[in-house]
Amino acid sequence: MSGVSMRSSFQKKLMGAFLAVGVIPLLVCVLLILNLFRLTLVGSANSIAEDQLSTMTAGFGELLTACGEVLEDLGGQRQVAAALESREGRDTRIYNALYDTAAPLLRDADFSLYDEAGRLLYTTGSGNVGEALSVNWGLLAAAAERGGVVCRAVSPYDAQPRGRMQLARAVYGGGRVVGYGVAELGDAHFARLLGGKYTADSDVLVLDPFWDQVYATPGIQDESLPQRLRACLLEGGSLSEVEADKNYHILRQEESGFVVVLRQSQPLAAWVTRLFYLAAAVSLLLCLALCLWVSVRFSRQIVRPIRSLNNAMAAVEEGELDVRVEVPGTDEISQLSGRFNRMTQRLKANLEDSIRQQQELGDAQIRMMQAQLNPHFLYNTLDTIKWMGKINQVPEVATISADLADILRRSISGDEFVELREETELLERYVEIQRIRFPGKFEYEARIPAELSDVLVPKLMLQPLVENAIIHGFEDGSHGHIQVAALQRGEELILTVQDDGCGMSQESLERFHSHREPKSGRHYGLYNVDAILRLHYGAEHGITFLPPAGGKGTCIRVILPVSRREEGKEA
Amino acid sequence: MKGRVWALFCCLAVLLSACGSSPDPVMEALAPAEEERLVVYTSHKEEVYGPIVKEFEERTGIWVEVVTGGTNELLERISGERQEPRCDVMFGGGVESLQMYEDCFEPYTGSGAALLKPGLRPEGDRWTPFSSLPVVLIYNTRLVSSEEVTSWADLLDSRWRGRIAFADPAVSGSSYTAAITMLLCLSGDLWENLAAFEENLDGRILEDSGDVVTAVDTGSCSIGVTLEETALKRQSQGANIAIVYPEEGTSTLPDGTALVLGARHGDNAKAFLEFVQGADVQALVVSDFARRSVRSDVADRDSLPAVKGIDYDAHWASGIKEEFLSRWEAGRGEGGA
Repeated sequence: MSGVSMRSSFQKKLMGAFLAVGVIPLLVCVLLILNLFRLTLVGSANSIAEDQLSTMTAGFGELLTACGEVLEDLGGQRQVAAALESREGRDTRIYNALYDTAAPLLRDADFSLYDEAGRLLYTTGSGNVGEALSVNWGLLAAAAERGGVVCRAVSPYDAQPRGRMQLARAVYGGGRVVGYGVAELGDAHFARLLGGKYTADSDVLVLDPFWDQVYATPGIQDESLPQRLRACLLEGGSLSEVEADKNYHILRQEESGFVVVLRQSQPLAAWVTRLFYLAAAVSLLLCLALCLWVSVRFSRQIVRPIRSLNNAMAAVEEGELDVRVEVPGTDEISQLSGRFNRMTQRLKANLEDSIRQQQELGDAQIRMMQAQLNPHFLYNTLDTIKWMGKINQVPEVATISADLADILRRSISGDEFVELREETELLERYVEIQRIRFPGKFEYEARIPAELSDVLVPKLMLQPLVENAIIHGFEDGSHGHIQVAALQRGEELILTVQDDGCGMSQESLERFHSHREPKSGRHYGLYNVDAILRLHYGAEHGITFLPPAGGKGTCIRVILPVSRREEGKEA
Repeated sequence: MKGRVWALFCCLAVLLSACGSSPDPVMEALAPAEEERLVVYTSHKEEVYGPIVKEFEERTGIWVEVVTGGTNELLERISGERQEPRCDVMFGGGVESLQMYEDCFEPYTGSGAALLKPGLRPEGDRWTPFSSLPVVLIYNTRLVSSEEVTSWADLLDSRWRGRIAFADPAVSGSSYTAAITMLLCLSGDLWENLAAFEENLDGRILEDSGDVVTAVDTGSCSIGVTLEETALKRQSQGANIAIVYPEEGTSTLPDGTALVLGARHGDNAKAFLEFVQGADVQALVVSDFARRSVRSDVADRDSLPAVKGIDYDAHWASGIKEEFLSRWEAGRGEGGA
């Protein structure tokens, strides 16, 4: 994995996490708050509007009922019927009766009396006597036909419309219609009826049962509004399509079928909503930017040490062990860096060790090969000397060189252990050479039982002990006797080398027992044999000095476990 | 994982925003039932259909949805909607126009059919006549004296050459009716008379039938041919025109009301037909619209003279329209050249 992709994936994960934690709760909160706010506002505005609307509709219904009662009252008065029948419009008694009857509603509606032909005779409002309403069309026709109180919107197609809305009741005299009592509601009456019952930001529209306009408060300038509401009603559309930023509340006055519409500005104007959403969007964007920034910073903080660690590991992979990582702090990644440093350090040390060992091994091999070179040359030389001795009839030279060659051959053979027989043969050779060197100086005797001749002993173990006896035991020029003996006791082989020479000095013995290296040139053979024995058989199997028989000379004893060459196995 | 989070989030957002809008149960409760409705296509002006529709609603409790437009436009729509009619009643349109779309309509014989004036009841009752519209001559009262224009024959008099206001019969249905009426009233060969008349127009042909009265009123033309209703209306608004009922007589072609074939609100449509043909509406036609009633029991205005009607075969008239128009166009080319 490359550093860049690791970083980007890290960053992506971090960014996702930060966004999830930072933006989503904010978004949810903002939406919840906005909508709760809007719902609350709309809810309260709705309840206010419903209250106003029901108040207005109830007031409207009461007014219509009251007007109807006045008209019924007028229709029941005999003098009124008589006056209408006479078609006279100047009778003050009738005016008195009209005003008396209409007294409680004089400011709420105009009341008029029409004769049977539809001509205006008396009115509490303005209007000229002689104005006419059609009697076979519209309001008066309906009043005559139905008998009770009829209410209608005033048709906009009328030549001389009187008011906005009219209620009419036929007046009967002698079993036939003699005239009509009519109540008229004009703009002023509606303004008085509705005034103070709706808030300043709303408007009221009064529609007839077929949704044609009766009255609109001055705030409604749009004359096509009732038509659009009617179209909306008939087509089953939504009221919000009529006007975008307005709410409509509609209530029908059941008795008359007239409809009161309250138009209310939306409690939360469109621009306010937009502002809210804008603010929400801006804060979301800020939050988003913050999340991005923090995630980038954070991922960088984490990724940078990991990347340098990663790079360092790559360098180690390439074999560069000197690489070290900066440890910036104490956090987990810093600890990791520290461990990495220690690991490479150890790795390097190990590598150096193994290189050194390798070098040493190589050196040893070279030395061994060199050492193998020399003996062959020596052999040949010794062989040449032997033959030269024979040719020149110097038998001692021939014997010595033959013996030496034999010793050399045995000593450089690869075996570490040899049979006791071979060891004694080698000892014979050595002794023969020393006899020629020091004629008559010592006598040598080997007492090795035949059954022990095949017991394995370390190679060249006895020769140094005998050499020690010849060189050091008789250095004072005296004549002596050397005896090598072997015997088996239990599972142990006991070898003794005894001489009757001058013996070892007290100092040499102490030095030997303390396993210190001997002084140069002295008792090296003993020391080596002791070391070999200890190495092969353990510390207790070293050389032991025994008091010599006859109190003179040196007696060395070596105890070994009895072991023989296994059948079929070459040593 | 991320996808799931997003989906959850979207659901939440939709849920939250959906809380705001709600349907209009109030409107649904107030809307009239299907059997209380009627759809009327009308080519009448609002001052004509308005009071009639309103009174119909008040008397019957039926909600009338009015769609307005030109006669041909609306008839085309009705023809186009034949598979699934939206319109119940075609209110307005000359009988010649209705004739051309007669297979879109269902015959209906109203209760007042027997009371119709003679000659106005259509064959098979495919529509119901609404008002009678005589074709009349008009003249500018300042430029022309009453005895100078009395008959259709005066239109061929060369002294009016280039001073006759006449709308293009290729465009205006009423102008075509007027031209045929003139040709029927004149003695002699039909097409020769047409050529003579066209020559007398001297290439001066008005685009719109409404322009005729204006042209005569302003004096740019001395005499003109138009419908009595239009002339009366403009006269009452103070135009300087007088009306002449030609000596030879004139056509009194009505406009009509027709029940659309397969109408969804058939019963309401029949009620509407009954209503517009009824005495009350016919009285209104006379009193308020300067028209003549189609009913024999509703008297026309006292001020209007009796019209000497001619036998006008609408079927025949629409049959020769194609030939008429080709000859008209030909003659027009010559006149213009």
